[in-house]
Amino acid sequence: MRLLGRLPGVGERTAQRLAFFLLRAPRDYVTALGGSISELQERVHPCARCGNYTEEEACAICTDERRDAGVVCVVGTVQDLMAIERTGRFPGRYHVLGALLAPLDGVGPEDLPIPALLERIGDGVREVVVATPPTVEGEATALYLAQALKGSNRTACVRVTRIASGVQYGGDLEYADQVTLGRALDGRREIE
Amino acid sequence: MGRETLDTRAFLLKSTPYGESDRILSLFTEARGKLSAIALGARRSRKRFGGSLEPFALLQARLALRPSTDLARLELAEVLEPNLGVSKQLVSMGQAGAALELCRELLAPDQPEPRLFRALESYLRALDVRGPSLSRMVGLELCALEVSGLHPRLGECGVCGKPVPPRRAARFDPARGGVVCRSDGGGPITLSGRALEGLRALAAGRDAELAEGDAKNAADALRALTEWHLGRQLKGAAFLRQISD
Repeated sequence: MRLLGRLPGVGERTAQRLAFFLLRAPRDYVTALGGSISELQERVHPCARCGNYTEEEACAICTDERRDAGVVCVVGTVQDLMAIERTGRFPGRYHVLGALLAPLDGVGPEDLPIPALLERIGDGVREVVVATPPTVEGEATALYLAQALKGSNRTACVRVTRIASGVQYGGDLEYADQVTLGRALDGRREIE
Repeated sequence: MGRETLDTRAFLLKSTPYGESDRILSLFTEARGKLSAIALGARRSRKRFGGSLEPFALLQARLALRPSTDLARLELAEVLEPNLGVSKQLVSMGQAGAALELCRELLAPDQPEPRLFRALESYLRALDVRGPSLSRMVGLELCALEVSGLHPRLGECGVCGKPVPPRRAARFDPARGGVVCRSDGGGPITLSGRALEGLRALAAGRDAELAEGDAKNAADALRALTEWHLGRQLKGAAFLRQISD
């Protein structure tokens, strides 16, 4: 119960419920679950190209020939990659940074795998979509990436774009906070 | 004694995830200085606090203060001045982050510091509108050191008390709290005559715009002094160094 209680979202009572569930569950199921958990870190590792999780050397997205290799979406975490994949709107490939610049916590460019990204972007990439979150850390990372890409001879011609941010779809402007609404106005675009 | 409600203007100094859905905040409030508060549900839903729990904005906060604990509860946070321009330049973000860190590290809890609050308000507003300035950052650092009782000695030697001649370079020793004359061993940092004049003018409350090199010289000396007192490196300074490399 102590170990189960360390899982995210699992408190003391939920840990107890899970423990009793496992005690009563079929032995095959408990064995399979235990095996999967113990194999997880041995078999699943970051993709050598993009940092997504995979059991192979390169992940399913990097090896999918139907994906546009000329467009790379930079995200902070694999969870963010999965969120974008769920939209079904992004045809390109990804690059997972694994962390974001944090001006308030002293996490600077040296702490991020930026050189690996720059190395990769030089190879026939037309556009880099920076999809870091609309937070101070996400904005700092986006600004730095744009500077780094524009400042390098190999990547200076690459188009660098940022995902839009602003009011929620289906939301009410009246209830939108000042920061969100201000950013939405800053990022306004012409209606085609 | 029951619960007390405090309505005050505030800056967010730091936000740390807590549990599954909450955040622990360090706030610089105008009325009570530095306070810790919990923002319940801040990570799960953005309905209650919206974008107000991002740093650099001036907030109007309502806090429930509880006598049994030092941790207040944030009940409401509305943005008064978003200072959105700060997040448009990396150097502005770095300088704003360094300013917030300095306040977080140097302020004593539950002790109002209206002068530093106003200085931080003006500083962030200037960053928002005019962009980064190392000279203004030096002014804020001096103010933060002064209100926390750590202001450097700039007019006379920290050992023998001999006045430092005007417009002359001087040695600065963080361990001895300011300038130290050569005959008393000097210090590891050389402050140029212009940097020292600028620091003196700012310390006396006069407006002074230091040239970039002098401002960097002065900022390095103040950072060394702060780090000596804290016994550790400032993270904001490390970030600024990395982005300017």
